[in-house]
Amino acid sequence: MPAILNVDNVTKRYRKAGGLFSSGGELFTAVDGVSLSLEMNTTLGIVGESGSGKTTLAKLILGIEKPDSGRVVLDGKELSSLSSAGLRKARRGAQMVFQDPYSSLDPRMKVGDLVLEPLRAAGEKIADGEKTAAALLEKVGLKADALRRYPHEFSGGQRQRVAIARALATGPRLILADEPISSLDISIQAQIMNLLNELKKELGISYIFISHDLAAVRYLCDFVAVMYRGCVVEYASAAELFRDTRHPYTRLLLSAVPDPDPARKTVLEERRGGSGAGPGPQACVFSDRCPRAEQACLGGRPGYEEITPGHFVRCCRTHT
Amino acid sequence: MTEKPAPLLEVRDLSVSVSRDGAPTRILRGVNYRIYPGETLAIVGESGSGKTLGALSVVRLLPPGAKIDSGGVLYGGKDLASLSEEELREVRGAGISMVFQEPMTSLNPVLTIGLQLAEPLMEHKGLSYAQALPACAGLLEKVGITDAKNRLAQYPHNFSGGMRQRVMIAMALACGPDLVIADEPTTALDVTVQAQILDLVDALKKESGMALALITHNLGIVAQRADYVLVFYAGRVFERAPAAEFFKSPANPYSRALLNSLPRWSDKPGEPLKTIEGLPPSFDEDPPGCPFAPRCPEVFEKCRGQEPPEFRTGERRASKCWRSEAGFEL
Repeated sequence: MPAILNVDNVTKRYRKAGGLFSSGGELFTAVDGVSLSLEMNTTLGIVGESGSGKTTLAKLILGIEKPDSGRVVLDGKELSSLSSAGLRKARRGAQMVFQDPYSSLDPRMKVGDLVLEPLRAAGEKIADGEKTAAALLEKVGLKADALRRYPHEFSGGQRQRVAIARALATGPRLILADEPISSLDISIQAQIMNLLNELKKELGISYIFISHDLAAVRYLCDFVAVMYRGCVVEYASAAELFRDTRHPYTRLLLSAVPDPDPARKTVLEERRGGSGAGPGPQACVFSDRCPRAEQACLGGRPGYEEITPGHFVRCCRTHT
Repeated sequence: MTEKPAPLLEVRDLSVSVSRDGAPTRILRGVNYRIYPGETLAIVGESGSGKTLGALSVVRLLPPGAKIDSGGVLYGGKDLASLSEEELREVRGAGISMVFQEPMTSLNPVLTIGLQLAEPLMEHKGLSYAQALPACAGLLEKVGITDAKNRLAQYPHNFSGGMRQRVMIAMALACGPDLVIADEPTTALDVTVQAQILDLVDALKKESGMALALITHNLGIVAQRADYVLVFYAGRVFERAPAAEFFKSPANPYSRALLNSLPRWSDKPGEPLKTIEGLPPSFDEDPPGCPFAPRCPEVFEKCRGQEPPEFRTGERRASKCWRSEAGFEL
């Protein structure tokens, strides 16, 4: 199957804010040599804690940020080689849905205008705005009478539907959804997850689903990348990752999810009493928190190894 | 579990309304529950269901314009609903303390951590700042913050989100409360930090014997941590039950629908999740009958005409549903 997205050894560094009179602080690596690919009509989950580089990676994929090294190829086009006009065109093929439908929709705009805005911003002439907007709203399960109403008249779940309709406007092939359900109530989360799956089937789009909700990731995603301190530490199909979890950080994340079955007690798999100072510059990024860390982990950073076909792990102790 | 001590706190038929533009709207209706010493009570429900108010009205932390219409809250032999503001302030912080969701906004950014930790001790125990400081250092250590002495002189922005929530917990523990009300204390945190904080709270509970009222929308946390569960819907307690029984055999159709809509490890990916169609009623509308009837998969005629009372469905169990009528009415 052709790939919709190829991320090839991408690194992005930021300079930490320095003091008022200094010219800038040390470099901070937000995304560290990440390689990923995404097949057409599949869903890739990106999980990891805050500060692990998930959102920076999303910005690199959309061409909002430029990588310091490496390449991002979206739907056959390398983003960093494009002119700004070319980039604008490429972006029509990849749209974003944000976590908070309360702040991502302009409260002064009517829903009809909100869903057409991406088309207008792309300079497209819309023959029949009302019909176009109504068709978009229908796709996300909203009635046409929503067109003339304002975001505040809708519940959180309905607003997220509006945000999804907006993302669909330019006919994208890829939608990046950054925590799209975490601010919603449980019953509404299920509705939005079902909607995302229906749209995937119906329109053949692909998703990148950024989330810390591992149960939702397992349910929605075909493939999962686990990020820690800017690195992808484990990548596999969702079925494989949850059945044969290899990286100690992935295991820690799984052990932290409270299971809604009281009979399945979860115990956090983390080494306690670390200094909190972070790993040394040469050490494996997870070595300071890893319950399995040994001397070898402090001396060199592990490579990204394919341990079984399609299952990649960055850990010195994969084989032990 | 059969020989229960006296309840620490008892909420009886509590109703609260809020007046906007002179017109009162009922936001809590006939809420009943008890908290026993040392137990973790989880309060769940969707946003706007009244779960936060159902807990905070206990110490009369009410939004502007809200008032208690009827019912009472018995705590230590007193009805908290009838206390003066001043008497109530003695209870808040000392006997019953609170931890809120957002440690970023509930700590004062321009005061040192030491000053903020010392405040409840100065307020309720009559200590001076200098007298309170050693106790503050002890509190920080208790919540797992190392280098406590130096940390006291720092400001909230020097702390990570998880560390700030630890500080909030230390503040809540300062006066040795016998009940802590925690409103979504880990919602803003990473899952690993969430697990660390909840482990910490469990350990502190064991040590001090205090009770915890945990407001959360995360049923996983409820399953793992709670002894007893209250389910709120439309300002009412729809079900109350010991946690293990609640997960094994939820009595109320709303509880069942809520549990069914969770993605589970046993689910087949790609198969549609069960959802609860429709939306909860807004507080302004007050149709007759059960407020869940329009969304209920188990609805029958009686539900639309008359609101069900609470029916007892077992030991410390009740459900507000005509389907539970076989038991005897409370």
